[in-house]
Amino acid sequence: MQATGEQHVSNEQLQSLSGPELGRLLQAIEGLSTEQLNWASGYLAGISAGGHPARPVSTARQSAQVTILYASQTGNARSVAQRLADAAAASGIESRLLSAHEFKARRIADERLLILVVSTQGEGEVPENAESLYNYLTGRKPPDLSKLEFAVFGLGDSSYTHFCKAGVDFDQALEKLGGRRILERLDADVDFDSDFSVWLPNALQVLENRQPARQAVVLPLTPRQSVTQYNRDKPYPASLIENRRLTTDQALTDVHHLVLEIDPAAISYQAGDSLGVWFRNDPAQVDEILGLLALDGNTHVRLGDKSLSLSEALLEKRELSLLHPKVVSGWARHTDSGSLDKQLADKNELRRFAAERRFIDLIEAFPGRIEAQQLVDLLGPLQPRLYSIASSPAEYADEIHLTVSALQYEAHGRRHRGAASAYLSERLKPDDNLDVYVVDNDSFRLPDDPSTPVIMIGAGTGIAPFRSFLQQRASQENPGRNWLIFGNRHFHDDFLYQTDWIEHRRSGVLEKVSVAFSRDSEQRNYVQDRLFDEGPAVLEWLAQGAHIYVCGAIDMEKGVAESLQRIAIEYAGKTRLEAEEFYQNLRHQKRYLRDVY
Amino acid sequence: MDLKTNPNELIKANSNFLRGTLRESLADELTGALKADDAQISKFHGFYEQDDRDLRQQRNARLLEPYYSFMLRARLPGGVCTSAQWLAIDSIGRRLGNGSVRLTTRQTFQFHGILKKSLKPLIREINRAMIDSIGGCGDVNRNVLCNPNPVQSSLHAEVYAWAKKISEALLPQTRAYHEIWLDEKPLIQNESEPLYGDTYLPRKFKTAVAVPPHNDVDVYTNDLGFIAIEDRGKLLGFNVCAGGGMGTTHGDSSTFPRLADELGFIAPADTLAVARAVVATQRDFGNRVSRRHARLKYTIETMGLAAFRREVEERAGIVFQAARPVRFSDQGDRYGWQHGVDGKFHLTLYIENGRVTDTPDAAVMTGLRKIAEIHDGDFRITANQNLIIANVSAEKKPLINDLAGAFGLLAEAKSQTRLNSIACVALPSCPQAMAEAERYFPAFLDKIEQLEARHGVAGQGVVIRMTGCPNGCARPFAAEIGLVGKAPGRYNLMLGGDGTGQRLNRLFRENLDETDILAELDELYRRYAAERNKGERLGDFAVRSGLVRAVDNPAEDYHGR
Repeated sequence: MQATGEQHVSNEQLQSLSGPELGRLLQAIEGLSTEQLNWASGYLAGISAGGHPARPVSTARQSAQVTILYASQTGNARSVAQRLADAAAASGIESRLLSAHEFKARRIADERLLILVVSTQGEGEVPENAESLYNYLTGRKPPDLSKLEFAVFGLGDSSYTHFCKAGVDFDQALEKLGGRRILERLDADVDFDSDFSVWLPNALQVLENRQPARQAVVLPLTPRQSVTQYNRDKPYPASLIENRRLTTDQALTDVHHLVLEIDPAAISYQAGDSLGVWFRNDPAQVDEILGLLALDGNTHVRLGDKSLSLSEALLEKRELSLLHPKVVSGWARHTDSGSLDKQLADKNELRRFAAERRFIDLIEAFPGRIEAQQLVDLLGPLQPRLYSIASSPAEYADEIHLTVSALQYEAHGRRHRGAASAYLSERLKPDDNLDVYVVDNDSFRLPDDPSTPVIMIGAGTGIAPFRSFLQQRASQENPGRNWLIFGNRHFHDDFLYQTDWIEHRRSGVLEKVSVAFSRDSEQRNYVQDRLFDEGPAVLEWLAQGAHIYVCGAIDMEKGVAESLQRIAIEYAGKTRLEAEEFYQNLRHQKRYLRDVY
Repeated sequence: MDLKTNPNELIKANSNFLRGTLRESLADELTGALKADDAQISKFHGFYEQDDRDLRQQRNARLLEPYYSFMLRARLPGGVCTSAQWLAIDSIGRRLGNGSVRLTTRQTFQFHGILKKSLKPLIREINRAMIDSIGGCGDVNRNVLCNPNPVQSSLHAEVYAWAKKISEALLPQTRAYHEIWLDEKPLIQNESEPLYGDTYLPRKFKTAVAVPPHNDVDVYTNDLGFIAIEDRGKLLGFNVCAGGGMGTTHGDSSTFPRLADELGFIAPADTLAVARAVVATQRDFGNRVSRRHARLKYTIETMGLAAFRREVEERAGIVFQAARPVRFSDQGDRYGWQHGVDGKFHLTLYIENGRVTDTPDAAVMTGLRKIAEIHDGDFRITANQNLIIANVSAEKKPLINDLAGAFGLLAEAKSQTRLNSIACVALPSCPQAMAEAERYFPAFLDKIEQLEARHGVAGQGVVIRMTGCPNGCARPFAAEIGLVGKAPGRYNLMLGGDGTGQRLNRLFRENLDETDILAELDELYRRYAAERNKGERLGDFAVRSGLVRAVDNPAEDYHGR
């Protein structure tokens, strides 16, 4: 893409490094993050293109002063970590920004100052990409962290029982191993921006206090500035160039294939990544809310330091579909006293109540009065939605494909549509812009060695990353065997991307396809059942070093994990304990990778 | 000209006696289709791959393959089955097909909309009911037709027995069907096809047995025909005829429909030897380069009738006697109740388009099921896609009559033209179809009935046949009025069949839409009403009045007015 005719280097002129030169290079790049490597390669390219080498910064190379580690599956932790690193850089504090996946767990004892930003998954689980670190810290041979100073920024959702549990767990583990806590752990809620803005000055202060002793050195360039131009807080305006329905008119789901145009020089992605999408709320629903509350959409309200109309705020800035329990309890003060007491009495009951409703359902069932400014203060900020990317840059460098299931359901006397999915599949028109950002999914990457066999298991729109994977594998030389296991409702109605798979098989990339269409037979066959039926083949592929990838709903993934263990028992003669160990080994070897929701 | 054998010959030769890679194709979960070669081999097992052509474009846009399904045609010589078999057919159609059963112009039933995964269970189930689908389609002898005449019960029994024997004698010998579908063990010794050889016939092969004076099986449209010659209810032997066939290709004047030639009379005992000899001659002399020219009719034209007859006589070890005189009076069915010579009753029902299904208008499928539940005789499918409830005892007759009435199965109140007429399946499932037939035909007949009423010839009863393409499943070239699809909404209008299946019709007007067809027929009916002789049929009138020339030698003069 960047090589012009003049710069083209013929193969004869290429000379690779070897021996001591290569050793020195490897030593130099040891422990660098992907981004830093990206930066470094650009830096070296700059030198070779005739630029002057930057002033040597000998002390800087001894590992960065502060390591900021983020772990999440949604990009929120990364967003926080990024902002911390930026703010630190602005204050002249050197830092190394890494995803937990890139971080070498066994080198943690070498760290001196570590800020960990970690989100909590579902029922209190540690994010996938931080699992090996956590297992190392809590394993049989944990490191001695007596030279470590640390702080934990936890992200979570207070409506869950195990709010910020991953943050709590890391915080305790680090302390238990001798680390010294330099900042009280912060447990930030869904609306983490406000918590962050309070926490940030303290954090910077603490870091600054530690700078003199560490010979502050300002790096001439910070990798994050040169590589990551666009992120959650500064999204990239992609434009929609195609929207096609994938399911038949008879299908139970309305799934769309969306093609977004991007500039590959500005935004890049890898197979396995997700895309964060900023959507707009449904104008009809905003009008209804305004009507129910007898508010004028033109009323000016303030959001932070911005002034905008109430309509605009509701359309673009406030969350209307994910109803947080805090919003329910806040709303209670605007309704007739006591009308929501029952719902507020029990935390679990409140969470269930909120999970089943949207804001409009709440105000319709429990009418009340509220001022425009109070309303925007009550509602949380709009949450971007994440979609697994369904294309590979190897085939579509200037496009990003998404697989969007337009949710629709009846509830509380109202026809609801998925907030983001209806926007993407219906209201977003060709040539419209969509604010997006790429979310690294380092814990869901194809094997480094292209010859490794791959088993991909996906149900419903969980198929999306595998379209990306297969495109990627198709672009590689001599890729290993690929096996796709797909499940949905009806073979004829919702076999997503069927003709793509047929083409991949015709071209030889896709060796084996197994399917489970649950509504086509009375016995309701699911992918995990199909997987179990294929037990002998699964074992054969695993014996050849296959990696297993699972994408789809959490319950489906649990079923797949269970099936794998049953296969070990049924077809490999293992005991239940051995089967459990077999499964855990696959996970530790990162040969069983998940992308679940 | 490049004389390379056509690709189908290679597929057959490489199929290991019709096994192909059907097992792998069935196990492939990614597609509802078979591999291309297997889709050819599958025909010999009785089923065709089809896709819903109404949905092709939209599915393609949604990255879905076409909606593939299969049509399976059973082997049911003479169209006879028991009540128990009917109940099995009904149940299989409901569960494993598209909820319907279709009676065909070859006196059998076929299931539509079978999904790939249902093929094996379906074939196992019909075999459990003692019916198979071997040679339902494919380049072998297809289902053997036999006049279902239930009235002359002992003669029918005798003739029907020969139809069954012919069907058995001409079956392929490969064990492929039994291995793939019925999980039977492969035989150890080397397999062979003594009659067919490993490339089978060059093209499909159709056989019929007729009992004059009824020509409901359209015996002359078959590759091989046996016409029963009787004396006071006892079978003396058969007039054998060969070289009939309907299929043509639009725009290729080297193709033509043809009626079979008389070869001569034989004694019953020579029936199977003659049948095998005709098949073997076609196997060895048939055209394996061009499938369009591969039917026996072209072989006979190429060899000459005399040479062909000699070849058959030599192979069969017989000499044909002079053909006995026969007279055919009709090519339709006789509806309503008939009283057989043995005292049993027989009820012929009109089944529109042969489609046995339940619609809001008529619960045909349920009605027939109810009848089968109490009926202790048999069912006979006719070559006009209708159904006879045969061998009903005097005491069951009122019961069955009530059921047939209650479910609207009686032919009463249908015009004679409608009762005489048939259409093929065509769109959306038939891959050959160029125009509508079955879906459109009933509404078309409504308009014909209006024309007939307007011209006062309603009681006459004309044989009208419509097909979606020129391959001729509904035998359109043997009809008084033939409509052969050319493009959506457009048909060739053929006139001049004689109403008994003994004269081909001829192209009258090409590529007409409905308005023009009705305008032409309006004029034809007007003249017919005014100018016909007493008792003269419409097809005969069309020839006598010079609208079309009679077809005497289609190989020479079919194309042209």
